[in-house]
Amino acid sequence: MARPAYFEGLLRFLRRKGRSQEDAEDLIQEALLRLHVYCQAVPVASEEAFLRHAVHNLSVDQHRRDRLDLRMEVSINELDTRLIDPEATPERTLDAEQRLDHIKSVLDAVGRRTRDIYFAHRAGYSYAEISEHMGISHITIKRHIARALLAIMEHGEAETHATAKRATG
Amino acid sequence: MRPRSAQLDKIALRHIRVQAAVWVTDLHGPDRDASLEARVRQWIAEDPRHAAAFELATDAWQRSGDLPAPFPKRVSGRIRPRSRVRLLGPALAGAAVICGVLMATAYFLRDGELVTGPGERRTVELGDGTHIALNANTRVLMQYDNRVRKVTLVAGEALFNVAKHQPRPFVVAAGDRKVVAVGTSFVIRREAPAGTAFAVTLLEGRVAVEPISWPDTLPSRVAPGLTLLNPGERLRFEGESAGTVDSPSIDKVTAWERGELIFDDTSLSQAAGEFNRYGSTRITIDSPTAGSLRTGGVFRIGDPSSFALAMANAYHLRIIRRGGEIILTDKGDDSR
Repeated sequence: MARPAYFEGLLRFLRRKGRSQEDAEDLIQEALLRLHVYCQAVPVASEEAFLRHAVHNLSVDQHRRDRLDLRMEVSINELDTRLIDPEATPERTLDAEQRLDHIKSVLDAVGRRTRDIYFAHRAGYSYAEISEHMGISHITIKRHIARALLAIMEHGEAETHATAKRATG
Repeated sequence: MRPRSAQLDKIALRHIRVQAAVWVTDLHGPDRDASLEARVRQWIAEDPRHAAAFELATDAWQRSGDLPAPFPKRVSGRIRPRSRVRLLGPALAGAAVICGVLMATAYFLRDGELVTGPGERRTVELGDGTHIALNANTRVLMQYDNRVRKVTLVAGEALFNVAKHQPRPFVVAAGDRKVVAVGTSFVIRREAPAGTAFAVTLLEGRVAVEPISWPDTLPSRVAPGLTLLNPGERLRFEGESAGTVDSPSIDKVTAWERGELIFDDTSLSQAAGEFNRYGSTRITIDSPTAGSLRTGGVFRIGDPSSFALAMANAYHLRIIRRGGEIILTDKGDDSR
């Protein structure tokens, strides 16, 4: 298990590269996701070395995608305010259709490929079927599914907090 | 610039959530085994934050899959009425167009209804993997629940490619009859919303056609009023009749799904009627005799002009265009 001091080093590295705090955390999260997806299949000799390598690569990749990512950030923000019903109380759960819309938009913000793979899997397609038709490995499929699930985890929580805040405030 | 400990705590928490997400993904993946389960249990027991994150991940998994309403993944494109596996290619390759059509999906799925207008064809994939291709002027109501995957064909024509390996039967209600299927694909055409005339063509698998009042399960034995179809067979009802079974050309029955109309010894007026189901341009046959001429061939659904031109050339008819109408009339009959 990587030591906390190790993350400190990664954070500083990314901040020096001009990354915002939030951005840096997102990159580290993605690196961690890769670490845990891969280490199930392949023994990873040094977790710290793996993470450093992943963060460097992601940092370079992300420069290329920055324009796109900025747009996505905007859409996530819009989404949050649009989806939170001012009348909602913690007792009132979102109905199925709203939940569906919500999950669709959460995953849209993560990426279309991730969303498609997640929905395909949840609709009953096996890894083997997805792998055959997209020409990607099981590991990559697993990474997309775990990433989608992570996004749904975080957004479900943001929603509960926001509605709870409204109810008390 | 030194990261504060609060930030490191945040990363530690995210780290735990990443692990939880990967565990839950693995538990639902192809490599689940006793060893994995043991490792997950051990990880959960290690730290209360692990247990909380695992619960969060499990909840997210259920929330995003256990939707009582079917969720569509894809609109547009064509589907092949063969195997489920094959459908995945276009489903995923269609990713590029998904964003543009999502709004449309949300719109026409409102109130659990799938609707197409004149000249429109759509393919929808539901959450269980079932594909529904809708022909023009079609209305389908979605009534999925925990017990049965039920839809009602109110009007029009649809091709159902039903996902296999599902405990819930798939039921299509059409008028006073219904079609019960498990994993199969079939086409239903309903001529008029109010009428009882409809036709079911089975492409693959097995379906039962039975009175609407029967339970929503595949009947276990033969009984009066029940018809079991074999692949390639079509059952047609006209009003109260018992129904007739024939074996039409499957290419012809599913042609609309490929954007084609196939005619084979079809009368000109019938062919014109088929075109008129789709486009905004109407073909009218203004002749006492031309309507009963026989024709054949493959035509594009959205191109009635080419059809009219071909007919005019073949049978020495005259084409008159008037607004959104193409009139086929006899040559030399100028007095009209």
